[in-house]
Amino acid sequence: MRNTSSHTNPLIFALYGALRLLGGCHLGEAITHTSRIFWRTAPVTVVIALFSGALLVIQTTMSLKHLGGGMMGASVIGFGGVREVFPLLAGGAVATRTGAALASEMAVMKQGKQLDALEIMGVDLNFHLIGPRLLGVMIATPLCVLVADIAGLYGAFLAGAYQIGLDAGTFWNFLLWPISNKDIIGGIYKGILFGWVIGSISLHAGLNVGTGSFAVGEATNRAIVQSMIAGSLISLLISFIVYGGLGI
Amino acid sequence: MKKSHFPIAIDFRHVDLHFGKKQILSDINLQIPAGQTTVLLGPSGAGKSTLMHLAIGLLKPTKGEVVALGYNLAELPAAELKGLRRRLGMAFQDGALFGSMTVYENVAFPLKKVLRKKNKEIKEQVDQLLDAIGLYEMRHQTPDKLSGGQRKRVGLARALAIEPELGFFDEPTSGLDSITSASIDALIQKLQSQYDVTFVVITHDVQSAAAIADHVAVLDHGVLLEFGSKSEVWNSTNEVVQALITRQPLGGSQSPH
Repeated sequence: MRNTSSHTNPLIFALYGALRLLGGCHLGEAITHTSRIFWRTAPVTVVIALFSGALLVIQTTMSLKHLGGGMMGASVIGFGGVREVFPLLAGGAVATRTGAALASEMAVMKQGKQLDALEIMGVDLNFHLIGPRLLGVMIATPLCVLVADIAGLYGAFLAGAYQIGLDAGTFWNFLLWPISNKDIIGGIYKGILFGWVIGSISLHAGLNVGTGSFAVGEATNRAIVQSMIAGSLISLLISFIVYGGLGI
Repeated sequence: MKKSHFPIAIDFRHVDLHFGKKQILSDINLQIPAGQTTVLLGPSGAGKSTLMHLAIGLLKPTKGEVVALGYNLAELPAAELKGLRRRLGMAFQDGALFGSMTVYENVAFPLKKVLRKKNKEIKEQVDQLLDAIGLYEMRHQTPDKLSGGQRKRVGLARALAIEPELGFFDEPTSGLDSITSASIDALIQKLQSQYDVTFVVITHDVQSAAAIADHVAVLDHGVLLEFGSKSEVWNSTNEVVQALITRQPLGGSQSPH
């Protein structure tokens, strides 16, 4: 086959996909997929981030309370949550909800010869099918990161103010003071990167599916696992580069 | 539909194909005539579908040449190959319909996305095709609501929607009961005579081949055993060809008991 599925390495596929995106893709399709991906993932992101924010603030505040700085627990969440945890949680939600759906959709289309049918019709798969989905994940993931930031902080606030019983106004200020615009924008960039990686890995897994229904499950599973690992590694790498010594 | 300008629609010139060390096709030399129905007949694994993939340019031969509608596919740049494919139609074994679209949308898809026709034109053409395949009443249904035979019919209609010069049908009657198979055969005959187009039909169904073929090519284990008019092939002295046509096991009519 001459289509993109012939690229057997996910990294080459990701780079090829990014290059192809520069050449354009069907924008109408891309908007549809962005909307679909966002609304499919946002509710899960809200739940995960809300609970995680609450859990994190309970643990950090209770630990720091012994040292006489319970309120600093809120600031820890402000720092670590927006910079690291919430974007990563959003990436995880996108990988499990959207990555899995993309991989299985492509796998079923491949097995059902729908991709062959499109190619024979002369439809550009990259322009109409792969590009819009990849661009959709790359736009929807940073939006989910913003949703995770808001939900995570709100979860932390609820737990701090109503569960632990700290002063709500003070707690809110401690929660927000460490967060700068740079942290939020950094999270958006991270989201774009996560989206590119998750989209590429998932589309690649689906396009390279084997035969039989078992293979669809395998492709979906591979998409989620590889996306989660790649997302964590990227997050770690960015932290090393940005916060781990270079001091930006 | 447009009749091909070439007396030979597809020319396989001494084609070999290997997948790794495995030989899939061996020295295939076959000229498929234009404006008629040619059936590629053979048992499973004979190389029929592979031959069709070569004709569409989805695969490249290891050796030899494939010339479709006057173009040597190996020498054709990607953009021109895409253009050539717009002159081809293909119906897949299970229809390969898009599950999220209705029957109407599936048939309209190539007209809208490939030929970029106006909605009014699309509607006229799709309604006419759905009427021809007897599924006009089912136009708002999604493929999961259709039977196997109905899905194949919709696949046929979608393949023919772009008015191809060359139509390929992959196992159009496999897995169907004899009555539905006969109706698909009748539909292929009707469409061929109506549109005067070149059809290449892959099948291992001898009855179906007998019903629709002008010419028959018999393949087995990647080798072309016989090619000619239906009567020539049916009178072949080749043992494997006769076994295939008469549905007898090779080496005589041994009793299973």
